[in-house]
Amino acid sequence: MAVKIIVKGISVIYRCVKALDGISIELEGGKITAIVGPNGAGKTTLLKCINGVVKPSAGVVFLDGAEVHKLKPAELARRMGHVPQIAPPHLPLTVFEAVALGRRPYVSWALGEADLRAIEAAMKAVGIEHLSDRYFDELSGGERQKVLIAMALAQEPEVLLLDEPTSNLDIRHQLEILELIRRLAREKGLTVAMAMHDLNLASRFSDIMIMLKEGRVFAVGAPREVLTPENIRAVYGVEAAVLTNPHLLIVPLGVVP
Amino acid sequence: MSASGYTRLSKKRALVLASLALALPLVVFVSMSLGVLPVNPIGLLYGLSSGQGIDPLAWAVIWHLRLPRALMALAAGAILAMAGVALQGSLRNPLVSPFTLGVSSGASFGAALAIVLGIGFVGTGTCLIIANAFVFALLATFMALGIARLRGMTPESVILAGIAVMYMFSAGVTLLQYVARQWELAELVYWLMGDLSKANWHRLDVAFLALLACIPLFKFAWDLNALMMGDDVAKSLGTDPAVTRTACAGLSALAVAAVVCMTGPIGFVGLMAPHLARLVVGADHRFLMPTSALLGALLLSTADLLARVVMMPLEIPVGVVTSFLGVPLFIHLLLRAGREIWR
Repeated sequence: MAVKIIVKGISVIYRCVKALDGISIELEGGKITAIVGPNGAGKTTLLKCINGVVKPSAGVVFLDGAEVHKLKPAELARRMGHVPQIAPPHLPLTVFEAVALGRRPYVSWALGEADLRAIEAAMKAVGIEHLSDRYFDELSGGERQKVLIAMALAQEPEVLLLDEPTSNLDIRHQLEILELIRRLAREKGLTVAMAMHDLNLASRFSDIMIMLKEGRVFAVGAPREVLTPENIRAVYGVEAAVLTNPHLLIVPLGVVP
Repeated sequence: MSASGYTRLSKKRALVLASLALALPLVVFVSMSLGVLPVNPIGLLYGLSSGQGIDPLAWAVIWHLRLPRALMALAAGAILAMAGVALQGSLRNPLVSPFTLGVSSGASFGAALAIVLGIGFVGTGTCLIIANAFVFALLATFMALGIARLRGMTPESVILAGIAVMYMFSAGVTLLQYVARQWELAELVYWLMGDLSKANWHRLDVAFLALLACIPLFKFAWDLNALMMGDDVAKSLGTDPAVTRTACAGLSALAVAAVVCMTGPIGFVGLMAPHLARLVVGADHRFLMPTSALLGALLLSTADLLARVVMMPLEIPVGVVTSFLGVPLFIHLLLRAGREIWR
C-alpha cells in the first residue's frame, strides 16, 4: 500500500530567483522523511511541488509512476494530504465541519455514510472526537494543528505532507503531534514528508533526512549521517556540537563569523 | 459518536431553510393586500373561482401591479444575495458586495448614456436603457476580471481591479450628469436610486432567467468551503481557486446585470443577506447559499412593501428602505452574535 514518490530534477523560479534548482529525491513508502534547511532553502516550495500546488518550471514529480501534474486535481487530493504551516487566522466552522473539508475530493453535495465514518475515523486518529462540536476559532494552537492533520487524514491519503507541523507548539504538543505522525506512518503505511526547523526533533522522528541549501540538495541519508558538525556549519553557518549518546543531540555553539 | 452533533446541526439548519421558504408566500400575500387600494386576495380568488365576478379594478391592481412587483422583489433579492455570498466566499472578503466588481457602476453608466445622449446598442426609450445597462454592467465586470487575470486571479487583484473599474464608470456617470439637461438629469437620478415600481410580467421573465443563472453557483459550494482555508490548501483539496473565482464572478455578474438593468442599483441587500445568513446557519456554503437567497428575497420584498406603504400614497425608493431597515437590524445582530463570523 505504501507508495513511493520520485522527484526528478525539479526547478522553480519565482520572479527570476531560483527557489529550487534541479532537485532529485525519493520519498520511500511507509517512511518519514524530514526536510531540513535554513529559511528560504526551499522546503515549503518543495512540498508544494510534490503535491501539485506549485508547477515546477523544469522536472517532474512521480506518484507511483504517475506524473503528479497530470493527475486530475480531485484524484491527487484523494491520494495526497497536505497540512499547511499556517492555519487561517479565522475559520468560522465547527471542528467536524473543518475536518469534513477533507472529503471535498469525494463528495459533490451531501456527506454520505462513508464520508461521516471517514471524518470520525480521522478525528479519532488524532484524538479530537471530544472537540467535534466546538468552533475552530475557540481552539488552542495544538488543537488546531490536530484539526488540520485530521482534515488531511479525512482525505484518506497515501501520502501525507506536513509543513513545519511543530512550529508554534509547546514541547508537549510537539511530541504529541510527532508521535501521532509516526504512529500514522507505521499503522497506515503512510508515506510522510515533513519540513522541519528543529533539528533535534527532526532527527528523533524521521527515518530519512534531506538537507537543503539554497534550493539544492546538500545531503541525504539517515539523520545521524546528515547532521554532522561539518554539514551544519556549511548549510546553516552555525558552529555546533553533535552528541550521539544516547540520542542525537545538536547543541548550537555560535554563528560562524 | 461525533457525527451525531453534526447531523443534529444539519437538521436544525434544514428547519431554518424550510421556515424561511414558508415565509415567502406570506410576504407575497401581504404585499398583494396592502396599498392605496386595500384588496383581500382570498376574496378575490373566491370570487374568481365561484364565478361571482370580481372587482375589475382590484383585479388589475393585483395582476398588473402588485403581484409582478412582489415577485420581482423576491427574484431580485434572491439574486443579489446569491451573488453576494458567491463573491464574498470566492474572494474571501466580508466587505465584497455584488457591486464590488463594477456591475452597478457599469449599468449606471450604460443607462446614463442612453438617457442623456441617446446612445446605445438596440431599441429606443426604456428598451435602450435596459440593453445599455446590461451590456455595460457585464463589460465592467469582464474588464475587472481581465485585469485580475494578469495578476493570477488572487482575491486582492480581483477586488482592486473591480474598484478601479467602478471608479472609472462612476466618473463617466458624473460627467454625463454634468452635461445632462434638467429633465434628463431627473430621469437619470431616479434611475440611479433603484426601484421596483416598473416591474411587469415581461421583465419578470428576464428576472426568472437570471435566477436560473444563479443555480450553477450551488455546484461551487464545496469549492467555496475549501477556499476558506486559503488558496494553497484549497488546491491540495482538489479545488482550483482561479476557476472557482472566475465562475462565481462571471455567473454573479450575469445574473445581477440582468436584474440591475431593469431595477437600477439596489444596494445593501447583497452585502447584508449573506452576513445575516451566516449568523443563522453558519459558514458551510451548502446551507449558506440557499439561506442567503431566501433571506435576500424576504428582505427586499419586505423593504419594498414598506417603501410602498409607510408614506402612502407617496413611495420611498426601496434602496433607502433597505438601508434604513437593514442597518439597525444588522448592527444589532452583529453586536449580539457570540462569536465572530469574519475576522
